[in-house]
Amino acid sequence: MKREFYTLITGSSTGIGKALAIECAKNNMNILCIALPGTRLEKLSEDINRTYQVKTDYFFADLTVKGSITNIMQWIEKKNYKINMLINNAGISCEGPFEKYSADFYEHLLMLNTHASVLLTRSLTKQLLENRPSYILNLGSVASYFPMPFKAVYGSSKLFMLSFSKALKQEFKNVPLQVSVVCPGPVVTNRHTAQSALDKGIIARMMHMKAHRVARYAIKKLKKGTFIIKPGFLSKTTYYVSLIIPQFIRNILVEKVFYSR
Amino acid sequence: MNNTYALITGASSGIGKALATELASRGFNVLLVSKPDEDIDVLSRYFESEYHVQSHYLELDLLSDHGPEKVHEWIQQHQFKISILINNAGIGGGGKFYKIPPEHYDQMIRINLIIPVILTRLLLPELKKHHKSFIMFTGSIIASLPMPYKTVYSSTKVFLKSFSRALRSELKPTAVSISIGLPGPTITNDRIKNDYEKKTRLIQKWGYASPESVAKKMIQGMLAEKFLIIPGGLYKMFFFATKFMPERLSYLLFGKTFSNIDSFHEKGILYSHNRQ
Repeated sequence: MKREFYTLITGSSTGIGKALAIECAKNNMNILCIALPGTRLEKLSEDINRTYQVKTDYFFADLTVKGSITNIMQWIEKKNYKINMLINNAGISCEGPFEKYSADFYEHLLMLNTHASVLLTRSLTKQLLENRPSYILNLGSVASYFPMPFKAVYGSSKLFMLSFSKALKQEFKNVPLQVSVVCPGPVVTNRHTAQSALDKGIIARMMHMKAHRVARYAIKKLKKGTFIIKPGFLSKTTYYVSLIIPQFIRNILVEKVFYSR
Repeated sequence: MNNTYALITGASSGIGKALATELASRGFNVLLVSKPDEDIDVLSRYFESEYHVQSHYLELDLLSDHGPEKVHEWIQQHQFKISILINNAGIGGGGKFYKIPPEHYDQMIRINLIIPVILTRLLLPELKKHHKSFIMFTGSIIASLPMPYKTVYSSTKVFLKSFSRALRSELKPTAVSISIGLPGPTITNDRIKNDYEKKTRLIQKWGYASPESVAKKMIQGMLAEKFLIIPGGLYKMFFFATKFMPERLSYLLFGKTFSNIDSFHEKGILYSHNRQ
């Protein structure tokens, strides 16, 4: 990848986003980190710059706030950064009965998981088409493969990202702009998820992946041109099972599994 | 249905108007939510005099700040009992992904995807109070295959299909039944009507339906507690075809459907604001 181009990663202060930033830097890519105000982006940016000898910069933005994407675009323009890779990583998750969360929470989740990704992609597409070869990597989830009860909003927002990626890929079929979507299973991103993995027992623990392994796999597959990137055993099996089993049987199974809990 | 109401968003025109009419003609009381200045008061009075049902309306742009919350407040203020919620309001449009103005995507994602979720969340406690309730979404047949040149529109409809599927499973033990209508092209505005009239071959005309026929099938399906309601034989075939075909083949066959949609740009219509 050409040295003057940058990779922009949203939600890069922790978890998969941070791991992707480090992984991209290892692959000799310059990094632009976007994350919430109050996160320790300066340190991450400095560390990456020192360790991997790539150019880095960072910008604080709350993507759920109106105008944040305009601010990001203005910053990019002012600094004259040329971007050839966009990673739409920022997102929040939730699990539980639909009524467990408030309307405000869902608005926040959807603004971040769907709205911000589409608008940022739209704002950067022109650049990406110029700075070839270019890449868009969207973050899906195993929840992208089929609708799941008790993950109604989060799961559907990830299905949205898969669908958005599919349609975009078709639109850019004849140009050197590659669209991929990575669909990880449960990932150990912080102490909280690590503890919840430990609590769930041995099989659940085996299903969890470390963020840096997801990132390494994702970038490796992205370079190879894979469209749906399936890191880990759970993601692969869920994907192939979702292809083979007819929907009505899947619905029965899903309902059985979720109600037995 | 005695003293309960059916709430319909986007009720002033297109499929929404037809759904409201279908419900009123079956004797349901209706609450009509519509953008301002769309003569919703006339429609409301018409329902009352023609079908002898109770009808109220709220003129509100759902995209304005706290739109769905305002609907909720209106319901609480008047103590309307709601047993049917029809999340119908939505906008369409297509063209090359990076040529459509970002503002259009902003509106589209909010009205097609975020507002239905919020409204459903706000009204679900009320819907659960009755011994039988229904929530229906107006999706689109495009939800069966994410379409290039309608990239964001089709993804919002994919979202709705997934969300309603998950919610239906989740609410199975309750009295709330969830449905989604997946209509094909429906003659809801003059632009689509123009397209329809330009088509000469019968097979092309076959693809279009009137809002009334779509609404009739949707209400029938909803009351029968069906999940997926696909009005029209052609689109039932399309739905099953895309389901069983490898995606690559689907795209080979149907991927170009909207590729000429840019011609709308040249004619001065950049994108359509069809309220469904």
